[in-house]
Formats: sequence, C-alpha cells, structure tokens
Amino acid sequence: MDIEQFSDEALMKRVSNRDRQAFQVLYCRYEVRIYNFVLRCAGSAPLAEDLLQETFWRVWQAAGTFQPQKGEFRTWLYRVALNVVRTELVRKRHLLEVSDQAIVEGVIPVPVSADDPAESLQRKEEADLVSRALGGLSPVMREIVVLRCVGGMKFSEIASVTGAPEGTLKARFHRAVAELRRRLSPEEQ
Amino acid sequence: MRHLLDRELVTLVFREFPPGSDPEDEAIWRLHLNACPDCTVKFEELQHAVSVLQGSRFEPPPPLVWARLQARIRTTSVSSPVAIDLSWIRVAFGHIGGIFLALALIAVAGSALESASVWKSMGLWPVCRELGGRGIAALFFFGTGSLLALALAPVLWWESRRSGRG
Repeated sequence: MDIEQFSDEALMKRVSNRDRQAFQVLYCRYEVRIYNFVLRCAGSAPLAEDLLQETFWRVWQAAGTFQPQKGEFRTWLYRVALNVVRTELVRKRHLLEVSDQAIVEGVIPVPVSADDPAESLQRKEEADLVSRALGGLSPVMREIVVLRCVGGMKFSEIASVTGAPEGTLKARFHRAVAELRRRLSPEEQ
Repeated sequence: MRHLLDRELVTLVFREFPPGSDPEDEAIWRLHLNACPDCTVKFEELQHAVSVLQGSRFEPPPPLVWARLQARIRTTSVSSPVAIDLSWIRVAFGHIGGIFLALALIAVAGSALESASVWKSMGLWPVCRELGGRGIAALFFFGTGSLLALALAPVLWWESRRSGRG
C-alpha cells in the first residue's frame, strides 16, 4: 500500500518512530490549511511561515504523545497550531493587526473566482474588506471565525480544540460576525 | 414565540446540531424563521457573511518553509547527544530481584526439607527416604529453575520486542 494512502493516524504512528517520509506526507496534506489558518490569525505572511514551521516542528517532536483513541489527528493538529499562534504572538508581542498593506500585496487569500467577472470582483472586494475587519477582532473571536470558516472545522471540533462549550462558541461566532458587519458598515468606514 | 437565540441562528446556518439535541428543534426554528422578519434578516445576514468568509482561496505556503523544517530536523538529529537507553538497568534489576526471590524461596524450602515432620505430615516420608537428601535437593532445584525460566520467559520476550520496536 502506498504511504500517501495511509490514514493520518497510521502516519503519525510512523512519525513517532522518526519516519521522515511519513512526516512529509502529513505536512503536504495539511500545510495549506494550517498556513491559511495561522496567516489569518497572525495577519502577516513572514510570521505565518514561522508559525507553520513551528507547528510542524512540534508535531515532529510530540508525535509520540498523540493518542488516536482520544480524537482525530486533525483536531490535535489544530490544537497544536492554536497553541503555537497564542504563545508565539504573545511572545513576539505582535499587535494582531492585519495591515492593509498585507492585503494589497495579496497576502490575505481572496475569494474563488466566480463565473461572472462582476460577481467575482464584488466577492473579492467583500473578502478584502472582511479580511481587514477580521484583523480588528479580538484574538478569541478571530480564532473561532478562522477555525470554522478557514479551517472548516465543526463547532464540536472547535470545542475540543479550544476547550470552550459548543453553545458558547456559537454565540461568540455570532457576535464576531456581528462585529465584522459593524466594522464593514459604511458609517464605520 | 421568542426570537431565535444567536447560537440557534448559527446552528441553523451550519446545520450543526449538538448531539442529544431535540430532533424537532430545526423544524420549530424554521417555522419561526418563516414567520419572523427580524430573525429572517439576521439569518440571511449571517448566511451571507459566512459564505463570504468561506469563499476564500487558500494560499499555499512557500516551499522554503518545508526546506527550513527539514534542515531543523536534520540539525537536531545530528547535534543532539546520543540518547542513552538505561531501560536495561531496570530490566536487569527486575531479573536479579526475581532470581534473589527464587533463591530465598529455595533457602526457605531447603530448611523445610531438613524437617522430616513436614514430609511425614504430607505422607511423603517413605518417598523422601528412598530418594535421599541429595536427590530431593536436586529435584527441588530442577523444579524451581524450570518455574523461574517459565516466569521470566514472557518478560524477556516482551522486553526484546519493545527494544526492537524502539
């Protein structure tokens, strides 16, 4: 069986035995998701690259502590990434402000192009504005929005990652979106 | 009827009902949504915001991140001191302890061998007299050794398997 078809958990078992090939497969599987997650949280590409590297470095180091019976690898990985984001940002005393320059340079992902160019442009503008507003949210609010909308995680999984109850997360998500809408309203701009 | 709560609106947008929730909740909430313009507006705004947030294109990270990570792993594995496996000490002490325990049992049993009353009470005195003191001791040592080997075999097998895996 080709190693690329292995489950995350099977690969992690190999990684815990210092199998670099298995580690590379896992990295390739999750690099884009984790990079975009940390990019949205950190707001700067160079910092996000450091955070991505640090996340997978910790995965390599702590592979032996991963217990598949306690939950999926994906949830465990996001928990590691979230811890990295929190500790690194506090350590570096980053201001957590997503700069407009970063968006202009295309650092922040823009929406998928739709068939209609006008609609595509509109969605791109919307996404640019949302990205900018996202940088103004509190870290806790931003984490939830990014985990749900960028990480594609369910609220039950986010509850497992953050340790907060599912109902609380949903209420915070709603507040975060309301805050985003407020920041995007014409009066605010 | 009361308006929908924030978390209920989010649940409806993502259709993520927590485990153990009432299956009729969705139908009740949707009925309210159809009848309440305020909640409908909130729901549609939330839905639109979520679709914008989810419609992002994912940027791949630059390849140099993987290169740096590889270099870090390589450097650490080269420069880190050789891990000294001291688990054999624990195993050795375990085995030595087992042997001492067995010897102690032999000593206790050996002293009991001297006592003819023990064998008489067990009805084995005629057999003992036939074998003689040395015969009994040899039989006892052979029996105890076999038992010890049987007891240690699984431990040694498990240990060799564990060290082979590591």
